[in-house]
This record gives sequence, structure tokens and C-alpha cells, in this order.
Amino acid sequence: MKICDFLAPGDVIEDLDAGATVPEILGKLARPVAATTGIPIETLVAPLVARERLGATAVGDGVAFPHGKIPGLNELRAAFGRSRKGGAFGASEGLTHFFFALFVPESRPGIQLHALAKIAGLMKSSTMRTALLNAEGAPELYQLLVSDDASAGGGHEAD
Amino acid sequence: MKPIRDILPKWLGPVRRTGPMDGHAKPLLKAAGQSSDDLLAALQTQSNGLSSEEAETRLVQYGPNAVAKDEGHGRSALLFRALVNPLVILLAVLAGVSLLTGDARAAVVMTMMVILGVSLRFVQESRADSAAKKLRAMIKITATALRDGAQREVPLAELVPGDVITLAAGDMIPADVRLLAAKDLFVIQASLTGESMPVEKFDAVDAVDTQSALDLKNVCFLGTSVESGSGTAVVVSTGDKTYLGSIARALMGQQVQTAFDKGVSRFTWLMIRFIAVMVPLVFLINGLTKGDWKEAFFFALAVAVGMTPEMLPMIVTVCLTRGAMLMASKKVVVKRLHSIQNLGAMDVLCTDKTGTLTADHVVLERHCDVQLDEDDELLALAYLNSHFQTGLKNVLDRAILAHTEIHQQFQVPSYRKVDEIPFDFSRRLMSVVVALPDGQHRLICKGAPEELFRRCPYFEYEGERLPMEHILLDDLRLEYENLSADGFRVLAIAYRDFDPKGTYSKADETDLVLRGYVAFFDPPKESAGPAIEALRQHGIAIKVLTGDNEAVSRKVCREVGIPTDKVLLGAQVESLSDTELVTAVEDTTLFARLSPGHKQRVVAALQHRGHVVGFLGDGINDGPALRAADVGISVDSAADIAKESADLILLEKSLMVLEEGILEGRKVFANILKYIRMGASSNFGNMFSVLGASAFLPFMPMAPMQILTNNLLYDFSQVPIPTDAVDAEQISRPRPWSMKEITKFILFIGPCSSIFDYTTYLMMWFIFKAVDPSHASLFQTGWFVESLLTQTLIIHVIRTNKVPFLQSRASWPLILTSLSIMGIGMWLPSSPFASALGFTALPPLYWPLLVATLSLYVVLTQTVKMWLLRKAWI
Repeated sequence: MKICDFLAPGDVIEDLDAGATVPEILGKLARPVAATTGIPIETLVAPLVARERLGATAVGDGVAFPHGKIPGLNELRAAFGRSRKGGAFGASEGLTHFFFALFVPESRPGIQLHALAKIAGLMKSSTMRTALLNAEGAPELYQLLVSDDASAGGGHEAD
Repeated sequence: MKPIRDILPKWLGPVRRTGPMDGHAKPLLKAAGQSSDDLLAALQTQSNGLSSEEAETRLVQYGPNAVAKDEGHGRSALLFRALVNPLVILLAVLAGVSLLTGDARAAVVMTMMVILGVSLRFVQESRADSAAKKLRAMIKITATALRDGAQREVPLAELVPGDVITLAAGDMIPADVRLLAAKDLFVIQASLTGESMPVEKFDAVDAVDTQSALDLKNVCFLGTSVESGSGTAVVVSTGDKTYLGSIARALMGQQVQTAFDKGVSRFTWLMIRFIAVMVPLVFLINGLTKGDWKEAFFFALAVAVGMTPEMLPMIVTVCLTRGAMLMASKKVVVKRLHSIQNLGAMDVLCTDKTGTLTADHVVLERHCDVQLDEDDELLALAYLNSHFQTGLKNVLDRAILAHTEIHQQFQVPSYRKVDEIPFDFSRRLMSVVVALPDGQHRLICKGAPEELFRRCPYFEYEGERLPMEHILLDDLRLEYENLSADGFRVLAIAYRDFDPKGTYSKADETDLVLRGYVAFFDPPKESAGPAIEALRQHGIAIKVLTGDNEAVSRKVCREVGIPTDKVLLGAQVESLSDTELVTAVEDTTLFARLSPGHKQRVVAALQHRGHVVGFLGDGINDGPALRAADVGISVDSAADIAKESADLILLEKSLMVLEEGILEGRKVFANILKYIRMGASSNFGNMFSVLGASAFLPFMPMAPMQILTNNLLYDFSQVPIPTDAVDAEQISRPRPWSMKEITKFILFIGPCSSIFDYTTYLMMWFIFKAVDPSHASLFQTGWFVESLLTQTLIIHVIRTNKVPFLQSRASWPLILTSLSIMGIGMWLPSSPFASALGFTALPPLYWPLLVATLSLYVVLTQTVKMWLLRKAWI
């Protein structure tokens, strides 16, 4: 599984306002996906909000993985947002700087595990996180995110 | 749990760990210090056990492996118990005094009363005893012993020194044994030492220099139980020679008295005190007013006899044993007779969930991977784990193994078992290690999902091994929780592959790969809902105490009609102090995730609030709560230790069965109460009458012989009380003993009979002119008949809270007996016995007047009774 399979350059947001409310943040992340799939933003956002309520998806190290199963979605889609300032986003401590949202097709829920494993492995690396923080512009962010795809398959172990 | 040595009577002296118990210790210490081979040789046995012939010989030589407590009593012991009773002794003394003072007839009549009471009681107790023996035989406690080289289930009592036995989780240790092999064997020795934590036992030689056998690590004792693990052991001592046996002799008869027992005892002593005051008073009054001290003496003696409630012990015993036999016919076996009283007073029932509210048929509903997609390979892993497990296979394992198609499909016989790590309650996992066809070893672990999640840094999905990232852990947990919320019982399956090695232990249960789940559905029994409603209508609150998780428990409760607005979890119970818990338990209906210790605390807290608590449980972990409860209830199919700790055994695990048992128990109580009420009112009523008559009459109110005859006839009329029917409304609520009720009866109903005694006196005096000593006999006869008839008739008024005869009728034996006794009473004055007893035939006018008296008496008593009921004083 490669990240470029479900993340397009247009799905990357260089500067996300992390101080906004959770639904607002998720709404911003959903916008590029809504645009390309034609699915209304509310439909994309509601499952993610519900999932946040069950348990915060902010896992520490300033990363959050909001995700949910979307009715009417045919293929796995993702969106990435970076906030240099950072925001709470329900984390128990520290600020969240990176939001990697996953929109999972309802018909293929299993794919969520693979994808989450992949992106979680990716974001584990502190080098990666520093680079992402310093990157200028969405294209550079995108390049960093898919940089690992060349070696394809498997998770990226933490260093 | 109190260790046995804490409840020994003080006069036995301070109990050290050695001392009077030394007898058992020496052979055990010796056995512990020897090697297995030496020990086997010393016991003249082999590692594959004894032959049946040898076992039989040794059984004769050593006697049965039975400890004194709970065994039936010999006939002579029963007779002794029936005789040694304050009431019987009092009567016997009175009879003796009569004889010595020359009144042989009186002595004869008194002796007849003694014999009546004692023999009835003796006969009933013997029948009860043999019935109890038969009932106990229905509940078999067996041990697994090697006989003739094969494993056989042998009744506990037939074990002999030299027997080789196997032990598994849930077993009671059947004798004092020395371990030959032990695998993660944990034993609970709380009953002997008070330690609540399980103790690990080993098979190595223990030559430690210790005086106390309890410290030995390779010895297990009769009366303790296996919490987890497995082992093999050789029997060193049995029966009275065990540690428990040496203590048990001192414990015989150390039963805790129920509130009822204490109440009956108090009533008896109250009566005796009244007699002690009354009788001298009567003697003095009569002697002073009549001058005939001899007559006064015999009269006083007869009054004493009349007031002694000599039938009470008989009636209590007969009611209890009849109740027990009726309950047995309704599939409730009563192990302790006196627990019937607590059963009748019970107002809270704590029940477990699994198997009581839910059907015994657990079905494996789903077997799936971590994304809840059906997965046969996962089922195969679960199957292997259950298949190769020794020891207690619970319902979940059986449900897994019901999928026999896996046996073929995945070629189970081609797997060889390498090792096993048995289940224990602290880690809640069970592992099996098998050799794969390619030579690698695979450890398959099955257990509580939360426990497994912690040990799985990986999970497998669609053939791929993925790292268990934190975010995934949450998602996986949500999936699993979806299953649970649906009411499924979920176990997780994980595995790990190893390069082949010899043995495996708990340390190997780490770095596992989570593979999937098996979900079981434990549907509620159809009868559970109606049974709970029936219990509730009879005034019993139900509380569910379970070790299972909250979601499943809530669902089951909802389905059977138990409200779940207030729920407490084990962790919360842990954090509450005892006082806080007492407040919290009142409204809580469901307690989930409880450990055995929590269950016991909840029972104790409810008792603290004044409830009479019953506890229904069948698991190993229910032992402490069963003992703590006022009524411990278990089932025939329960773990040994649960059966041992219970007071009642249900032959069918059904709340309906229990409910019927409870109603029988209340009937027993109600009938005993009838006798006490009658005794309370009529005896005290008679007191006033006799005092008044003695003071004002110029002659004896009744000849001593007449009083005795009256009493004897009255005793006969009460014999059928245990057979009496009980009004439905009298058993609709729990019935605890209430001394206040009895006092009200004495104070208000007692005088009623006295009133009519006085009207009879006036009647005899003024209408029949029996005013002087020459007409004494007429007076006495008049009072005799009235007294006997009123006493016999009033049984029918007092036995019910409703209108007698019209709304509630006594049982036929009671009715017929009443009629016969009344008939005899009316016949005696004109019978051949009349002059012997000092009666005079009564004039025709007497009879209609008597009828009027009786009718008014019935009406008055009924009215007073209704008044007391309205004021809720009875």
C-alpha cells in the first residue's frame, strides 16, 4: 500500500487553523476530498466527529489521525493538514501539529487498518515530523509524505 | 473468611499451630521430606496407583475418608438429643416428683406426655436423618484417582492412604496429600489458615526444618481447594487423621444459630420463667385459701405441666423435616435443616448471571478476525487451544469444541501438544503450545481481550502482520466492544511462533500477534424472567453479582426484567469503604466485574443493612460469598467447593425451583409460628384463669388429674399442626422472627380466653349452683369441657389471618383431630372413665350455654385478631 494511492497533492493543507473547533478542523480537512468526490462535507465530517467522541485520535508527538467510515465513498481517501502553531484537538497533553485524516469507504472497512498502520508508522519518525514542520508550501509537504513510497509496502519503524 | 481455629470454643485453650493437632503433622512432615520414590515405597503403592482390591482392603483397615462434621447421627445420639431438652427434663422432673409423692396416676399421665413428645421427635429426626443421607448421596463429591492403572471418579469417602489422585482447578483436595507432580498449582488454604491469596505448591522435596505442616510446600490438605493449575499427588492421611479431621471433632455442633433458633429459645425460657413464678404463687394461694397443702401441691404441679410447651421442640423438628422432604420433592436439597428458617426470612437474593439467568447452552456465534470478518482459520486456532487443554473445560471451551468439523478440516490430529499454561484468575488467559507440521512451535493464547491487547505488539489482518499502533489499539478495542455491547461474550485469540524448546511458562505469553475473536452468546433462560417476577411478587429483591463484563451483564438483565439504572463495577466496590458500600448496595441491582472478595463484601454490606441475604452461585470463586450469606444456595453441577459451602443445593439450576423452595420454607415457618402463637395466648390466658379461680373458689378449680388429662388431649390435638395448610397471603412476604408479634399475642389474645373462663365460672356458680365443695366435681367438669373445647377450637381462629372456616380451612388431619378431641372431651364426663377422673355428668342446660360461650369466644378472638392486624401489630 502506498500513500500516494490515497493521498493526492491537492489533499494537503499547508496551514491549518488548529485553534478552531474539532468539527471546523475536520471540515477544512474534508474540503479537498469533498471537491474531488462530490460527497457533501457534512457526510464526510460526521463519522469523523463521532469517532473523535468515542476516543481522541490524537496519539501524542503532536499527531492526530481522525478517521471514519463514509457512506457512499468508493475508495480510500485521505487529507493532511499542518499547523505550526498547533492546537489541543482533544489530546491529553501537548499540542497537535499534524492532522492526517482518513476517509474509509463503508464497503471496505478493513482497509482502514492497513492505512492507519501505514500512516502511523510514517508519522512515528521524529525526523519526518521535523521535516514536515519546516517544509514550505503544500507541494514540499506532499513530497515528504510520499517519500517513503519508493521502498513500498511495510511500515516505517520509529527511530 | 475465618480460619477454623478462630471459631474453636475458648475452653479448648489457645491454639498454636502445633500442639493438639500434632497427630496429623508427623506423617505429613515425614512425607514431605522424602523423595517421591521413597514415599511411594513407604506407602506401599506405585505411581500408577492402587488396584481396586488393595484399595478395598485399605478401606476396611483405615476406615472411610470421612470427617465427623455433617455426618448423620447414630440412633442413640438422636434419642439423646430428643431427651436432653429443658422442657422434657422439666416434665420428667415433675413426673418424678409426682411419683415420689405417691400420685402414681399423675406420674403416669406426665410420663405419657413425655413419651409422646420425645418419640415423635425421635421418629421424625431419624426419618429426616436417613432422608438427609439419601439426599446427600445425590450430591456426589468425588475425586479422580488412579485405580487399576486407569483414572476413575471415586467417592471422597472411599479414598485410602496410598491412592494416587489427580488435581485440577475447582477440585477440593480430598485428603491430606503429598504432591508427586505439580504444574502451576495454586491452592486456596483460607479455610485452614485464613490466607485469602492462593498459595503455590510444588512437587520437590521439602526438607525444611519446620514444626508446622501448614508451611510445607509440597503438601495439600483436606478442606482446601485448587484455584488453578494441575497436579498429581499421593494420599498420606484420610478421615480423622487429617488436619481438618483433628479439628473437626471439636467443631461438631458449632453451627451458628439462626435468628429463629434464638427466638424460639427465648420464647421457651420466657415460658419457663413464667412457670417458675406462677406455680409457687398458685401453690401458696390454694394452700392459704383452702388449707389443704397436699392438694395445693399436686394442683400446682399439674398447672406447671399444663403450662410447659412440651410439644414445641417436636413441632419445630417435625415442621423442619417435613419441609425439607417436601422441598426435596421439589428438587431443593436442604443440607442444613435450620437454613430453612433463613430461607423463609430471606428478602434479598444475590444471584450470579451465567447459568442461572442465562441458559446453560452457550453457543459460539461468531469467529472472526480483528475487523470482525468471519475467519475459519481463527476458529481452528481457538479449537486447538480448547482441544489440548486439560482440567476444567468450561462452557466456552465446550462451545468451541462443538465445531467438530474443524477436526477434519484443519487436521487437528496432526498437531502435537507440546505444553500448556493453564488458566488462572489473575491473568485471565489460557495458552496451549502445539508443534506445527514444519517443526516450529506455536503458542496459542486465548482469554480476556483487555489482557491480550496488552501483550500484543502486533496484530494480523488479511495475512499481513501489522504493528499495534496506539491508534489501532483504540479502533480494535472499539470493534471488540461492538461485539460485547451486542451481548456477546468475547474472547480474543493471539499466537506467537517459537523455535522448538522444552517447556513454556507465563513469561512466553508476550510479544503475541492478535489474530481475532470468538464471540459467544449466552442467551437468557426463558424461565428466568417469569421466575424473577415471581420472586419479586413474593417480596424478594434480586441483585445480580457477576464477574463478567458490564455490557453483557446489562443486556442479560434487561432481557430478564432486572432494572439497570444503578450498576456498580468491581473497581468501584474496591474503592468504597465498608460504610459507603452499605449505603451503595441498597439501590444497586447489578454488580459486574466482581472478584470473589467483592462478592463477599457485597453480601456482608447487605446483611449490615438488616437484610436476610441468600446467595446463589456455582463457581469456584463463589465459595466465600456462599459461606457469608444467610442462605448459601448452589447447584448439583457446581464446582466441589461451591457445593461444600452451600446450605441448599438445587437439583436443577432454575430460579423457579428456588422460588418454590422458598415458599415451602415460609410454610414451615408459618406452621411453627401457629404453635407458638397458640401456646403464647392460651397458656397465658390459662394463667389468669387459674390464679383467679384459686383465689376466689372455696375448692380446687380443677383436680390435678383433670388438668393433666386436659393437657394430654390438647397435645394430641396439636400433633397435626405440621401438616396444616398455609394461607397464600401468609407466605407472600419474607417472614423474619419477631418477638414483638408474640408479645402482642400474649397481651391481647391471651386475656380473651381468660374472659370466657371467667364467664364459665360465673355460669357454673350462679346457674348451676356449684358453690360448695360437694359440687366441686360439677364445677371442675364444667370448666374442663369448656377449657378443652375452647383451646381446641381456637387453633382454627389463630392459624389464619382471615375468617376461620369460611375463608380458610385447616388441613383435614387437623380438622378431624380437633373434632375427635372435642368429641372425647364432651364424652368423658358421661363415660366409664368419669369417676376415675373425678367428673360429674353435665346437665342438659350446659350444652347450649357452652355453644353460646364457644361462639362468643370465637367471635371475640377473631375481632381482636382483626384489630391487631389492622394496627399491623401482628
